[in-house]
Amino acid sequence: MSTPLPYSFAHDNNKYIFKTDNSVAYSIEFTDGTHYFLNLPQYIPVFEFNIKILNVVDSIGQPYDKRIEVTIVNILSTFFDNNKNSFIYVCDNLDNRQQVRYRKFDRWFKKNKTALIEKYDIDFSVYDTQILASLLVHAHNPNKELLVRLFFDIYK
Amino acid sequence: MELKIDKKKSLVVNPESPTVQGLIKMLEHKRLRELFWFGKITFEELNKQLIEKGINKQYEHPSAV
Repeated sequence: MSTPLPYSFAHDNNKYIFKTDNSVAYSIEFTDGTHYFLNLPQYIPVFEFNIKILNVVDSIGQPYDKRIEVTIVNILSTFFDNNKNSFIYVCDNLDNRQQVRYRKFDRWFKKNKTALIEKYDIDFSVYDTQILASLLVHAHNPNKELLVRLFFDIYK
Repeated sequence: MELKIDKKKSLVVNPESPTVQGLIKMLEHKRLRELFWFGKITFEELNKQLIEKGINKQYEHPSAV
């Protein structure tokens, strides 16, 4: 089975927008995430990764579209053109579907795995809240070792 | 990726760890944004709650959320 073609996307300052055949508009945003982490040296860029549907009402009941997955993977690849980039993806739990999101993201990553992007996962509960998060970092990121160490620095 | 665990450390999560605090804030920010998108809180409430939760972010316009 052939891989579906990605949608073309507009790209401006770490924000990527594309529209599907079903007219659902997606915004993939990498926003500054450094202010969340007090243990992170200021000179290391870490982004927060968010997927936003721009026209929520129209997207309800839409069939699964494989092109969305390949488009997002394509966007990640573009983002990592700069090997100093890294991002953290924390799974939204507002509707208690964080596990579903975590597994889906993991499946996408494994299916489209590249030696140049590494993914590190954590899963823990604190204050009765489950945190499912991943750090994605370029294999040749000069700060990779420090980033990974800080990401896993969650135990007593 | 396989996580190499330092055996000298316990596996009890430290809620005061800067990483844990950062991830909680990141999740809270995401939750507040969604509440705004779904009309559960106003733009002003969003910015107010971001301050209250200690999240160093303020939106200048609703379209930026």
